Amino acid sequence: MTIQVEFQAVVLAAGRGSRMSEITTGKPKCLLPVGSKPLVWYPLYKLQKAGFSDVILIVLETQKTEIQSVLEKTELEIRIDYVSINDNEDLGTADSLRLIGDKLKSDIFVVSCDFVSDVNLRGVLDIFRTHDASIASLLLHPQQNETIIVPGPKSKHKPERDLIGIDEQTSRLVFLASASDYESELSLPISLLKKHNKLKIYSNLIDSHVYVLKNWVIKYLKSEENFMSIKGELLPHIIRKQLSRPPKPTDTKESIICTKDSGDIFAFAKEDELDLEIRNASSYNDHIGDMKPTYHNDSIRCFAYISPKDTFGVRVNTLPAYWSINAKIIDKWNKITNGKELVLKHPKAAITSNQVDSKCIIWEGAKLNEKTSFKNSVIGANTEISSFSRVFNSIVMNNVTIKEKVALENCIVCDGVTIENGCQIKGCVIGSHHVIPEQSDHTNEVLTESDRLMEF
Amino acid sequence: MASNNKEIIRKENAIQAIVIADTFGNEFVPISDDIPHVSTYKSVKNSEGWTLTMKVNIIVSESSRSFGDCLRDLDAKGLLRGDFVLLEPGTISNIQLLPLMRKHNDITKHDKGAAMTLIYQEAGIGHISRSTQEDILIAINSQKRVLFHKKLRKDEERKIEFPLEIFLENPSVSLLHNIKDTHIAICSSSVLPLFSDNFDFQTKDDFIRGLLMNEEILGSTVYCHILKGSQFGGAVTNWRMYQAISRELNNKWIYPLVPSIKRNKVLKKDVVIGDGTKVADSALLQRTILGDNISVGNNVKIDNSFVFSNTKIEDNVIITHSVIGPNCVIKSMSKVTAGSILGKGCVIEKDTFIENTLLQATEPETCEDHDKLGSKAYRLKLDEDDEEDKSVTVLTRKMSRLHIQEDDCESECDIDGFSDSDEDGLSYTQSPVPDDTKLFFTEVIDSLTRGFEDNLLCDNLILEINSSRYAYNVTVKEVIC
Repeated sequence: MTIQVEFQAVVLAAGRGSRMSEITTGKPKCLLPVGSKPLVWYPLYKLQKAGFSDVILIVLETQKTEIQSVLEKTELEIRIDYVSINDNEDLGTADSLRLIGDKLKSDIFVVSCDFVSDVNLRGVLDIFRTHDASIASLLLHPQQNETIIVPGPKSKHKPERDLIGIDEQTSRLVFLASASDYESELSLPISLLKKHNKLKIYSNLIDSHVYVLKNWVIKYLKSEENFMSIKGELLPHIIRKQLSRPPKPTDTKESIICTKDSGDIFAFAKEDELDLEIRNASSYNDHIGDMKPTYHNDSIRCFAYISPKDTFGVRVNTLPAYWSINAKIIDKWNKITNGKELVLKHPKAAITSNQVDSKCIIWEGAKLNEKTSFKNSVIGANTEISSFSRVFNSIVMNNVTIKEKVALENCIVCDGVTIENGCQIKGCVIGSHHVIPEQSDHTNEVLTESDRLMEF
Repeated sequence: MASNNKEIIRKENAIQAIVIADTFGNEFVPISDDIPHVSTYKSVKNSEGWTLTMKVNIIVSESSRSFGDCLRDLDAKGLLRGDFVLLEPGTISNIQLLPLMRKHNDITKHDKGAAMTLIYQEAGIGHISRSTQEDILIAINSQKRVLFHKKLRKDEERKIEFPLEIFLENPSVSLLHNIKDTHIAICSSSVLPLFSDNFDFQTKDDFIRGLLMNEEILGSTVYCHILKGSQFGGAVTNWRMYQAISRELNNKWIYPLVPSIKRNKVLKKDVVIGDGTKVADSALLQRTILGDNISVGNNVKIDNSFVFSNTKIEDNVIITHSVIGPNCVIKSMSKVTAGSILGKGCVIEKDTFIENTLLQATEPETCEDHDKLGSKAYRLKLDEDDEEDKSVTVLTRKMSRLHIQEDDCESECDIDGFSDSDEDGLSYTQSPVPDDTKLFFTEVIDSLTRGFEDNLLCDNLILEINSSRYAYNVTVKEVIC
C-alpha cells in the first residue's frame, strides 16, 4: 500500500514555445539551454529541493524520447513520470491536466517548465494549507526594467499584462483577467466590492503559472470539457465562482436547465462536514470589518501568494526573457539552486582555447579549439568552434559547427547550425540547422529557413 | 438661505479653516425652519478640536445658494492664504488636524498640483455612522492619490465601470469601500480659485468629480488620507446621521468630546439629559437625548429619539424613533413613532397617533383638512424639487430618516455577482424611462387635474388621454402600469 502524498507535482512541458518560435522550431522549448542546464531542469530541481520525490512531466509525444534522454544525464534524483500527449491535437494546459486526471489522487502542484526562480515554494503551499484553499497561485514581482538588447530585428516587446485583484486583508484572489480583454473600461460587480471592501488591483504582477489546486478542481475539470487552458479559462472561472452561492435545491424546470453550468461546481467544492463544524465553532475569522462569517462561508476559495520583493522569478516564455535569464544565470545560480555547485566547464568538454572568460558556460562534448576567444557565452553540447573564431555574449546551442575566422556577437545560435569560414554575425538569431555560407555578414536579423517558420 | 462662514486663523502657524454652516438642503425641515442650524446640532458645534484660542470671523454670504457659492464668495473676498482646512456643514470630530496639514504639505512637495486631501475614516460595511447616502467607493494608487470616486446609491446598477487606464498606469490600485467621509478636507490655496473658475462646482463632490475628469485641463489632483483607530469624524447631513453621530458621541467614540451623563436608576442605556429636565420615575428611556427644561410624565416610553429643550411630554406617551423640536407639548396617551419629526412649538392633542410624519406648528400655505392634526400641528409635505427627481428624492428622504431597524443591507443581491456570459449583464442595466413616457405622464396628470377642476365628462377625458397616448407612442399596457 502506498501512502497518499499531500501534493502531486505536475510539470507542464508540452508547450511549443510559440512566443519565441525563432528558437523553438526544431527544439522542445523545455530543452532550451539556460546556463548549464536545460530550461525544464530548473522547475524539476526546485521541486526536488522542496521535497517532492515524484513528478509527472507532461511532454509532447514526439519530443518524449529526446527530453527523457537529456534529463537522464542531468542527475536529478526526483522520479519523473513521463506522460506524453498527442502532438496533433492542439491541447491546452487544462486539457493536459484533464488527460492525466486519473493519476491525480491528491491535491496538485502545477508548475510550468519555464519557471526559473529563487522563490521558496513553501509560501504558496502554506497559504493553500492555512486556508484549505481551492486554488493558490504564486505571483511574481516584475524584474526591474532593464534595457537589454535582444538579438534579432528591433521590435517592441509589449508584455502581456494581467489585472489581478487581491483582497488586501485576506490575500483572497478574487479577480483575474487579461488587460487586453478590456477596451476602455473595467466593470466590477458591486457585490464584489462590498464583499472585499479593500480590494487591490495589480497590473504589474506576473502570474508564475505555479498553482496549487485542490483535487476537486481536477474532477470538476474532467466534467467540463470546454476549458482548454488553466490560466485563460479554468482559473478565471473558479475565481468568479467565489462570488456565487450554491444554488438552492429546487425542482423547477429552470434549475434542470441551469444546473450544468451554474450549480455543478458547488457539488465538487463541497467541504467536509466536520471541517465546517470546526470552523463554525472556532472564533477565528479571516477578516474584520463586517459581520460576515469566516471566508464569507465560501466553499470555493482562491488565494494568491505574492513573492517577496527581493526574490527573483521569471517565466522564460519569450525571446527577451530567454535572453535575459541567460545573461543573469551565473549571478542568480546560487540563489536559484540553493547553493548547488555551478559547473562552468563540463569535464568532458575539450577546451584548448586559452581565452575563455569566467562568465562562459561550456557543455559536455564541446570542442573549443586553439586560438579562439570566448566571453560571456554559453557553448552547447558537441559544438565545435574552430581556430581564429570568437564568440562574445552569445548562446550557442548543441551540435553547432563554427568554422574558422568567425566572429559572433550577441547571437542566439540554435541546434545544428553550421557557420562557414569568415562570417561576421552580430545580434542575430540563427534558426536550427541553418547553414550560413562563407564570408556572410549579418546584423540584427533572424536567419532561418523561412519555410520552417511557416509551419506554425 | 443665508450662510455663515467661519474662518479660523491661528496667527503663529497661520492655519486657517473654513466652516460652512449651512447645508443648503431641506433635510432638517421642519425643525431647521425655526432654529438656525448651528444650534440644531446641539453638542456638535464646539468640536473642531482647537484647543488654543482662535480668532473667529463670521462671514455672512447672503447671495450664496450652495456650498460652491460660499467658496467663490470667499475667494472674491480674498481672506485666505495658503493651505486651509475645509469643514462641511455639521462636522464633528476629534481628529488631530495638524499632522494632516503636515501630510498635505508633504504631498504638495511631491505633486505641485495636489489641491485637496480628503480625510476618510475606516468604517466597515454596516457601521452605524456610515451614511447610506454616502456609500463611498474610491480607487487610490500607492501614493494615495484618488483616481476614482463614486457614491453608491442603493438599487442602482449592479456593476461599476472603472476607466481601464487607471489600472494600467499604476502598478497597483486599491479599491476601497471600507471608509466613510469625515467631511473634512485639507485644501491647497488653489481650491478657491478652482471653484471660482468652474462655476458649475456646487458641492465638494462636484469638485472632486470635476478634477478627476479634467485632470489634464485643470492640472490638479486629489489625495486622501484614511484614519484608523480612535480618530473619529463625521458630519450631520441628515437625521439618520444625526442619530448615528449622537450615538457615537454618547458612547464616547469621539472622546474627548463627551456629553455629561447624569445617572438615574430608571434610565436605561444611552440616555443623555439636559439641565433642568425632570423625568418621572416611572418613565422608561432608552437611547435618547433630552434637551434642557423638559418634563417627562409618568409611564412615558421614549426609545431612540431626540427631544429638544422646553418640551413637555405628558403621561403615558410613547415616542420612538422620532425628533421632537423645542417648545412642543405632547399630551397624554399620544404616540409618536417611526421617523416623525416635530417642528418648534407643536402641540399634539390627547390620544393622537403619529407615524412617519413631519409636523409644524403653523399652518402651511396649502393645507388640506386632513393635514390638520390640531390647532398647533400641521402635517407638512415637502414639495418635490422636480418631477424627474421624484423617485430619487423620495428614496433619499426615506434613507435620511432615523434609522428604525437594522435593515438587511446585503439581502440576496450577492448572488451571481459575475455573470458568466455578458448577456446576463445586459438584463441588469435597466434603461432609464424614455422621455416620451415622462412627457406623456405629465400630460395625463394635466388632463386629469383640468378635468377635475372643470368637471369634464369622463368620456372626453378618456379620449384626451388616448390621443396623448398616441402622440407619445405609449401602449395601453404602460398606461395601466
